[in-house]
Amino acid sequence: MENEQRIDETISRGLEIVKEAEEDRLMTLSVGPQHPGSGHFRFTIKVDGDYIVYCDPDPGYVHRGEEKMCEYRNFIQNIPHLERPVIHDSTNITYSYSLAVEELANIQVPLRGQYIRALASELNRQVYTLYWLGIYGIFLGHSTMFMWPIGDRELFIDLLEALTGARVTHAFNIPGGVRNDMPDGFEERCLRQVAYFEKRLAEYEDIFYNNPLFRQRTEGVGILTKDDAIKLGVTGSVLRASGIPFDVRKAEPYDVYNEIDFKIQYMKTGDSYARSTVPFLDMKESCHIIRELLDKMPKSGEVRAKLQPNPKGPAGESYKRVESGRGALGYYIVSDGTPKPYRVKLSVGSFRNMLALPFLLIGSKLADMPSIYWSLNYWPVEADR
Amino acid sequence: MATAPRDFRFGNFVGSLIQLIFWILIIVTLVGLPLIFIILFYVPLPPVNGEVLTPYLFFSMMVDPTRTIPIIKFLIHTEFFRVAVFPGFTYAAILAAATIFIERKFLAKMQLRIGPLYAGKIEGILQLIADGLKLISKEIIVPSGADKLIFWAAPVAFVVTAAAVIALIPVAPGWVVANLDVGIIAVFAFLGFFPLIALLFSWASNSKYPFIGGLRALHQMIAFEIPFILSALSVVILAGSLNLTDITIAQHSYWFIFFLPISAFVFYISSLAELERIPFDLPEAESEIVAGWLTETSGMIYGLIQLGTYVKLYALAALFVTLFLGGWAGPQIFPAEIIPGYTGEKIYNAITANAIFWFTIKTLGMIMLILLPRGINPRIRIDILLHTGWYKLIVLAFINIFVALSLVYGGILGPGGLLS
Amino acid sequence: MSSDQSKTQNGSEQKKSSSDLTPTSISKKTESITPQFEGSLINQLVTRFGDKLVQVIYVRPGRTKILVPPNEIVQVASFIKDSLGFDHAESVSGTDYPNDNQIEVIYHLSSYSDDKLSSQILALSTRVDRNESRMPTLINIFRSAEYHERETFEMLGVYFEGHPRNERFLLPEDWADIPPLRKEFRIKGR
Repeated sequence: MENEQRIDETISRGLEIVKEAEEDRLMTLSVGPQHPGSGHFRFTIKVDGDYIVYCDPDPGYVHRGEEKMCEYRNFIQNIPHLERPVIHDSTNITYSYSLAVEELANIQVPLRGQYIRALASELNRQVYTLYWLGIYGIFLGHSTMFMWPIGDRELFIDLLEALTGARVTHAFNIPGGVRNDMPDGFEERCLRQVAYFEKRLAEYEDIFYNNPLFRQRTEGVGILTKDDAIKLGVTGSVLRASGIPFDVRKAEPYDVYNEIDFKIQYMKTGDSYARSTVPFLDMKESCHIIRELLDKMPKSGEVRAKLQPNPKGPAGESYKRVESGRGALGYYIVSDGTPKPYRVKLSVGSFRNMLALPFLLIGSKLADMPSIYWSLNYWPVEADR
Repeated sequence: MATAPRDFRFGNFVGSLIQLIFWILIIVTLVGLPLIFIILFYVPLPPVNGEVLTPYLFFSMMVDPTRTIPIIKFLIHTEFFRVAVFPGFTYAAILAAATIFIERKFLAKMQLRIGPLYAGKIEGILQLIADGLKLISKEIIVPSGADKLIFWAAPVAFVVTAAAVIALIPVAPGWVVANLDVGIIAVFAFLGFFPLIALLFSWASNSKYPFIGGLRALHQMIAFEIPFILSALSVVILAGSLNLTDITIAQHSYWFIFFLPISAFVFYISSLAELERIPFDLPEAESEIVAGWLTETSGMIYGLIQLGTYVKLYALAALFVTLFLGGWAGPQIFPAEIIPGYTGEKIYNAITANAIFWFTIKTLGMIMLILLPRGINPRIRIDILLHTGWYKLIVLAFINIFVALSLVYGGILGPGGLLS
Repeated sequence: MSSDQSKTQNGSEQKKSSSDLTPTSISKKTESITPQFEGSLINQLVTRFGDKLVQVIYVRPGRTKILVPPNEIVQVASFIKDSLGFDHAESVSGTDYPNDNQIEVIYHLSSYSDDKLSSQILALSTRVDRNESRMPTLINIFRSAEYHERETFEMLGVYFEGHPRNERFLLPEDWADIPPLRKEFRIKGR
């Protein structure tokens, strides 16, 4: 009896030693906010040799309390601070806010205003996706993949500057339409730059996407199957890369998108390569959409509905979503009949895609961490709001 | 500086050069010379040839070629000159500095931008000096718990080892710092010291990210040493000697790269891996492990490591030129005499000048080829790297060894062959 | 159609209170003709659970909202996922109604796999008491609600039973104040 007890104790002590040794083998890395590979975001990973065994995201470093701030300002005053979560995709994040407020207050937007709004949204999509592509290049160690997209992004920023007056954070969409009309000569300039950009996209495909090293690093890495994508509720290009052709512009077309003919770009493999190619294909498709919008736009007209100084509507609630660069961006606004909203909730694509991060990182190699993390199209500031 | 740069105009450039020359002449004649005269006036000088050594006599003696050329010739052939100036450290440092500048401009043009522009009159040519001054003026932060001796010694050892590799490379016939009979083996012995330095430094930094970076550096450099040596082995088989000067002389009629293209390719890839250049810069992978084993370097320690890296780049490019591209061989384009009919002492040697010229041109071309992949490729992953280094490159190197062996034993090449 | 309308009106008549934000005031915005497809979805729910359990707040084109008591929410959510075909939660948010002494937690559910449902958003809402705010978690049914529920916990103080981590997420580590999205939390200086 005593013998057995001693044997048991020895065995359990031995197991403890083995477990301690294993724990000792794990190295905890904090891919923290002071890291060139993470943005304003921190996630803690435990590494066993070269394999990641544990991942815990820790957002909140840029949390400003957007939703609380919205309750202190009226519907129009909310626009400038609501576009800060994604400063270079600012037309999209205020687009769905404007749509929700228009539904609450029953405002009708003139047709030319709707077209200009959609045009600014598409231009912003290009700006955001080029920035994302550039940072993806840095994460993989490819500095040319950073310089070229950022250089080409200047074209669209110049266009948006001519249209709205600011390079980023345009404050262009307001409930009721857009702030001002297009300047003269904007259409020709836009078409010229889109034509140049399409040639550049062909070059990107040759140099970046057909590069054997790029393919080696991203193909087969971080595979998100279709069922997992649905279960985790990811959105945007991550969803479309896993084989689900879902785009808010097609599923529930808002403004004039039901008159525009375009195809949803999606790929079936669900690995990092697919997640990095889908935004590129989206950019190509966006060029066609821009052309079609400029073509079908009414040549003159009002761009903004006339509003009273403190617009308000009856008590109610509204949920509207648009397709931004990261995915479906939804606003849930509750109004109590006063000019200030009672509750505003942003459902942003980055926050939803963050759920896939620990799921994909656990079990993969440390060297795959940048290519998985950034391919999830995660913008830290937006997720924190 | 917030202004846009003006376009480069050749007339303005010539004008600014002339202005510079003008100012130098004025300052030297009106200020410098009088100062020297005043000094010489007070320093008691010995009488020469029965005459008092006035300042005028001193200057005319200095300018007289029959007196100065033997002095210069004597100085050139001392050991010190060879080690410190040419073909030793100063030559390598100047080429390394030129490499850094070329790299920044070359990459900038590939990436549709300009690169350094404002430091110096022509397109930012003094940017390197500005960066060097900045690094010298920074505080060197030693992490707590770091092993101080190794932390300070490793960067110096890095530069010293890189300089040691340069010491073995012949630039012109007779111009090599250390003419060893086992030249190639000595080169690889020095190169084998680098992974050790990287590992020691990363361990001494007492931090997680350098630790991972140091391990990766170790894996990478060790994996590529064997293909390195094997590709050099095929050269040795063809040349019949380990001495680098003899290898160069053996290529006087044909360059080895025509018979050993695969070995040259393997050597090139291995040197990219040794130098931790993109696509092989895993030890310094910025987005994954901050800066790899260089994370805790700051100030002049970082400056020393960068200097060592670029000196090593020059060394490996020069090694490639020596082994495969014929070293200093090239058509004789320098005239035999500068001043025809001069019979006194002369420092100018047509063969040496020709050799230096061709060697420098080839090395610069090779350096550009090593700099090129940085603009084209992303970073490779470590398992693909090790797979390439241990499987594919060794196989390729062996193929060329067999080709070289068959050529030598077939009597075509090598000492006493058909084309020797 | 008329039965649907009567059901909405019944639902609105049952709960009368003086605040402007009750479900009744929201339902006054409905069109006079209830949309057919959305109506059929709500029909299925009401037939399965009865209108005491599932209160229909509004039925609009593309958007529907129901109100469920907190302890029944798990079975209603399972039914919605298994039979109706909604497979993920787009957003989970909480709204503080201090006048009613309640916090409303609302799940916006949508579907990726079903084509006809992909433009529909079903808002599944429940009201918990403000002082004793606990409710069962839905992450075993809709996995995508995990981080949203955690954020609702830290911003409003609603404890989700069964959720593995009811912890601080976005707020700073040294947060020592009341949950910020409650109405008594005032931003300093305003």
